[in-house]
Amino acid sequence: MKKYLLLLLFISQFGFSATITNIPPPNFKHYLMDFDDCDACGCSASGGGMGFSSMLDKNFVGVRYFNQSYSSRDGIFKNSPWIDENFNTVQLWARIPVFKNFQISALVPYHFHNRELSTGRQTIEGLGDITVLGLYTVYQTKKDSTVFTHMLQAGAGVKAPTGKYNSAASTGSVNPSFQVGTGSWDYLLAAEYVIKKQDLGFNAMLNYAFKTENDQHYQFGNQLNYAGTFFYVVEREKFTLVPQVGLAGETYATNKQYGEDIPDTKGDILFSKVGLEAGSGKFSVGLNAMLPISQNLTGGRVEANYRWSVNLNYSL
Amino acid sequence: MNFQLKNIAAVLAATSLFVSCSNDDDNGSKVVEGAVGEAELFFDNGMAGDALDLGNAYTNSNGETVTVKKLNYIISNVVLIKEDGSSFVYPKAENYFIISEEKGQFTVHLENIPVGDYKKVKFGIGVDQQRYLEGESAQKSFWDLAYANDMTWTWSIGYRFINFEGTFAETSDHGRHEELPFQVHQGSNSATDNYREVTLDLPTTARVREKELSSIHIMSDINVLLDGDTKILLHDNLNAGGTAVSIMGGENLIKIAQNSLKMFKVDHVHNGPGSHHE
Amino acid sequence: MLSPLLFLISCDNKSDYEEVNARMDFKVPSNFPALAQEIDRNYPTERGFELGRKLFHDTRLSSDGTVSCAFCHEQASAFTHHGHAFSHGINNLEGVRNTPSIQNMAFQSQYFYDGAAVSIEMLSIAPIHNPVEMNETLENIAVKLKKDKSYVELFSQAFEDQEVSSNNILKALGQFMTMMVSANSRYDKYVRKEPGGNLSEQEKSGLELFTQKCASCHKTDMFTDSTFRNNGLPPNSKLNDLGRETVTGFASDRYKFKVPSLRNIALTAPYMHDGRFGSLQSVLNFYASGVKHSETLDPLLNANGVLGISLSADEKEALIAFFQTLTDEEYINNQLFYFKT
Repeated sequence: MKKYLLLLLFISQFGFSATITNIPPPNFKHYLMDFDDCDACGCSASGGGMGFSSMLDKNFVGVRYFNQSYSSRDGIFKNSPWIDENFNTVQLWARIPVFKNFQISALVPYHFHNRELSTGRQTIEGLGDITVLGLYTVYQTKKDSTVFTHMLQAGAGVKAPTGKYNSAASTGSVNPSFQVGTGSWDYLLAAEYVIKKQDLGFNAMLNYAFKTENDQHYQFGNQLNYAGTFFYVVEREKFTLVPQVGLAGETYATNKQYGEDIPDTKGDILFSKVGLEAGSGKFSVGLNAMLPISQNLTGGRVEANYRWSVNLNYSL
Repeated sequence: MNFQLKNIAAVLAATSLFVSCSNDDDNGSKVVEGAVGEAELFFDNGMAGDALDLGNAYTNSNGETVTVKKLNYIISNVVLIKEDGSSFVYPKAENYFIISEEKGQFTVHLENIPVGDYKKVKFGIGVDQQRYLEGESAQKSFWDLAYANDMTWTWSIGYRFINFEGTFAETSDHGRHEELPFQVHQGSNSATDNYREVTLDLPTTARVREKELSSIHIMSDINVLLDGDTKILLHDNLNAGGTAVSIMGGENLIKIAQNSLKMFKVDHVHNGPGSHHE
Repeated sequence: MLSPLLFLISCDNKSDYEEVNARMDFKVPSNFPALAQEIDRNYPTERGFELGRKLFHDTRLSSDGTVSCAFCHEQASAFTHHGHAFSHGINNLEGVRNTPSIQNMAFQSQYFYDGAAVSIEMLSIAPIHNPVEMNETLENIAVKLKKDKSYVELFSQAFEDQEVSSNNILKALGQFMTMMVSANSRYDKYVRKEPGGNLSEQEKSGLELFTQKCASCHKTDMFTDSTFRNNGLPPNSKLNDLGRETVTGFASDRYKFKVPSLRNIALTAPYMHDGRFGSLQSVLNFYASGVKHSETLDPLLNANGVLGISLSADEKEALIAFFQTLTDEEYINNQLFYFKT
């Protein structure tokens, strides 16, 4: 059981990178590795989520909802009003094992975002960018009786432009990420390391997304995501609880159009995160929240307020 | 057998999803000789970095608190310049525009611009002397348009390049704490040519393409007119009765013309088939 | 039934335009200085001139339909307002300046006493819009004229775009004024050695005195150098007319007024920008002993510690005799500028 938990934790940490939800890895049967290719602040564009099933059954289906709240300055002046932007995503995901030590995971997000500009309410909704990722377990502690157990996983993947990118949606505002997709094929590299002693564990995650130019000649900046999470496994007869706490950060390079840097589009942010997952039988639920500790997004013209998510998984 | 079919079907389905989304159509990037596109200059008026709202009070570094009631100006002789220095001069006959805060007229719309990549924009504030001396034959309906926007003088015949009016109060101890009206009417007269041109760099390239609109978003700073490189105190320009300020001639207009060189800067450029600014 | 009519109309239009709107004959008199306006931009044509003349005499150019240009600019007085120091416009509102003459406009680069206009086409804007003169706008005038078929026809014949527009109203008036050349006074004929150009001894003496004592400002056969000068008139305390400073805003232009042409001077009393002198005698008395010092007083009237121009009684008489020779009878009686309203 512990071994499986470990694996779960490990996996869930994986996609965690700052994507939209940045959900802490661990836990339990379904990990929501929220691997979200968050482009330039806001990251609504892909909002992927990587999920892994429990060790009991590697095949699973799950659904998750997450909400991101941002404020952006509606105008070019110091005293231009700040408006709220709400990014909502519902995600389906599944995990398919291919062969020993290798898994493929897919994420299908659907977005519905809104914001109140000074010119009126703007909404955008639609299918987001589908992500497919392959992960290989490079090393895993075999002996049961060791004090510390370790696991290292590495992998690569791709995010497809299934979500529509329409420059008009973000024209006229400072936030270039009010989109449902990046319109580009993006390539991902990821690595994760988990160390555990008895019920307490720590997960470190790193991933990097290479973004390409879309057909409207817009290219989002490459993105680096990282996270560190402490988790504690409380195992009881009929259920298991895994509370967790940690930090997660995202760094975005400058966006470009026609190969030319667009000023004030790069950024970085550091979140604190806290969450809880609970599972019983084939079902599990999770709840997670993130609050920014420090940030400087789009030249200070966009601010992240918070993120939270809730999910429900069923192992097949 | 079943398993294989299912798998194949799944793979095919996944592939088709990806294929339908990728779009190799690259009609936006090419520069076709002889093709034309549109561009616009969108003027976003402000006072020292804050948005200009008619009726709001602003205090400048001269210690004077100004409430703007009217801000109109004439933009003319627009030229788009490429990296190699070559330029496109917009046709003279249509190259005179009026920006009016009260009427919500903020856009200079330009059509039939040769497609290309432009790095700078140049334009004039007001009406150039050469055009003015050509008289009515040349100006035609622009005089009517200017008249309708309070941008003409009829006692000394000419155009007001900038019509900047409102009230002001004094915050220092001059012994006055009332709201007095002021009018600043920048323009040329038969003695002085106060027309000025500015060349602004575009922070990113304006890519004019067929069926696309390149929007150049310009931020203006009205504060520099009185509180620029040269300071003009409204208090020092009160009329004989001390009841109002009327700046319409003389040395003041020469100072304002000089100050106005720093009135504009390009905030950003939008390219592509995006929507116009409101 | 209609088609033959249409045929006639469509046929006539174009040929009418070309046929009837011939260019007029504008000549620069040989003793005149060069043109100061680009008249080729708006060269006088027959229809354009007629239209301008009609407009000049039309009271619809004022807001209440009572005042036309001709109301203050009377041909018999060389297009000034006979006997009026100030004129009254609509609603009997009085102006603050003496009506200047309209003559030889194409040879001037500055108009009005303070240089408020520099273009012969644009200058009409000032009196039309002045609230105490005609108090009207070009837009409104166009609306009124569009209701008048005779105007619609004239505009369509006079201008290529055939529009009753502000633009064309100003151009028509500009063409009319371009043709208003006064160059056939007895003095002109004397200078050009034409028949009728005889000057008496006193008049010749006046001419010589004039050349010595007045021509430094009243230069050329236009009798002006088109500059703005303070000639020492004590300011009218009630009006305090700042003159050129009103237009330029420079204190150095205070109390300076344009040097007027002296042509037809015998007809254009009262004199000076505010019509304060009723006779040429008073004018010369002023120059001889009435000039007052001020900061912007013209240096030519403040030479060698002497204010003004010293003139004896005989000299004044000779000058006045000379001034009579500047009257151009042909100009004030020319039917070309006359319009029966």
